[in-house]
Amino acid sequence: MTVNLGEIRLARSTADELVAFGLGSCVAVCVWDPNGPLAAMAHVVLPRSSNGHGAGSHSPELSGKYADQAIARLVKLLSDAGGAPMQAQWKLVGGAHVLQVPGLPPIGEHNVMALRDALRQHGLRITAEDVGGHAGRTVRLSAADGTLLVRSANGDERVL
Amino acid sequence: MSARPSRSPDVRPAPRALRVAIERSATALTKFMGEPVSIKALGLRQWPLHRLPRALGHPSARVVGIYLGLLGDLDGHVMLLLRPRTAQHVVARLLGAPQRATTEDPLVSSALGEVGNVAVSSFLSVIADMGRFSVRPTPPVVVHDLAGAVLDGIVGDILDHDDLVIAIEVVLEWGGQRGSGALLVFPRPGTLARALQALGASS
Repeated sequence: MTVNLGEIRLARSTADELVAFGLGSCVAVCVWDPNGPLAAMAHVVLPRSSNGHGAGSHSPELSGKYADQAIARLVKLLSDAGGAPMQAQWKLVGGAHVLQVPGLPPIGEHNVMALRDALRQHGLRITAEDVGGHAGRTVRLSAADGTLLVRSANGDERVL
Repeated sequence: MSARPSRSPDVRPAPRALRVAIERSATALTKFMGEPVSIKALGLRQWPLHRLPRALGHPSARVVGIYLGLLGDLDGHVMLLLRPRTAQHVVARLLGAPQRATTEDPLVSSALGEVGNVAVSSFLSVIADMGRFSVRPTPPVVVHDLAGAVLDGIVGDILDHDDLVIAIEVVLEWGGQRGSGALLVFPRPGTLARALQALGASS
């Protein structure tokens, strides 16, 4: 199951795999709840909506666009599906600064900071992360066992 | 990459000025490279945010991106995306020997950046003349990464208040290979309507 820009998806079958391709400044929030098991992923694009009501902030299709709203929606999604967000594994991948151009803000860094803040506010602990740097990443989350495979544009592979 | 010969419903015809500008860009590149480079404007395409990386090919495909910012009346970004094989061909042609199209080599980066300069400057000079507005490019920045990752920074910058991207879709033929790249122009929201109006097209 591909998780595109701004989307949140939930996997209920152990055969499912959630994938976010070509993450640059975007961050994949990957959640795995062993009770179920349940897996969910949000493909976060921006740290926060400028005024709390930015475009997509109310669109179900783009509920993962903003960091400050994605975590709340992931928590609700997991709870509604019978999961336990507090017992789940929360992992962050992405937030690179690939296009280093004067005048373009380091959105990746801002995304990671906003997500850490939002998770803390919900009392949730980050269990692993692979963030920052200057290379893009593709991430795959197995719903069966929560294994997270991160492949970097420079050829590195990590399992989180 | 983005290049598709058929026109889908969300692609509108490009205003004449844009077609002329794209042709001028191709002519300038042909002269610069000393071999035929063809760029044909298919139209203006509107992409929803979540579909954008797929519209440009698979987001995990490796690409060489040559980025220039736009300053002035037409505020925004331009990205010339090349398949690595095309970029390698371009570098070999300019530097006179087969080279890896890596951005770690300053000479290679500089050669690719110059290609972006030639393509975008000629495009912008037509747009500025016909629309009677001022627009200038920033120095080029060359990146070699995954297509989705290369575009993330731009998407994040222009999509805070909108979930749609409007870009000029082209077919690029280089070194005898059709679909070897894409030239994408991303006006910031607000400037596109003004630009199209100035170019004689409705917004």
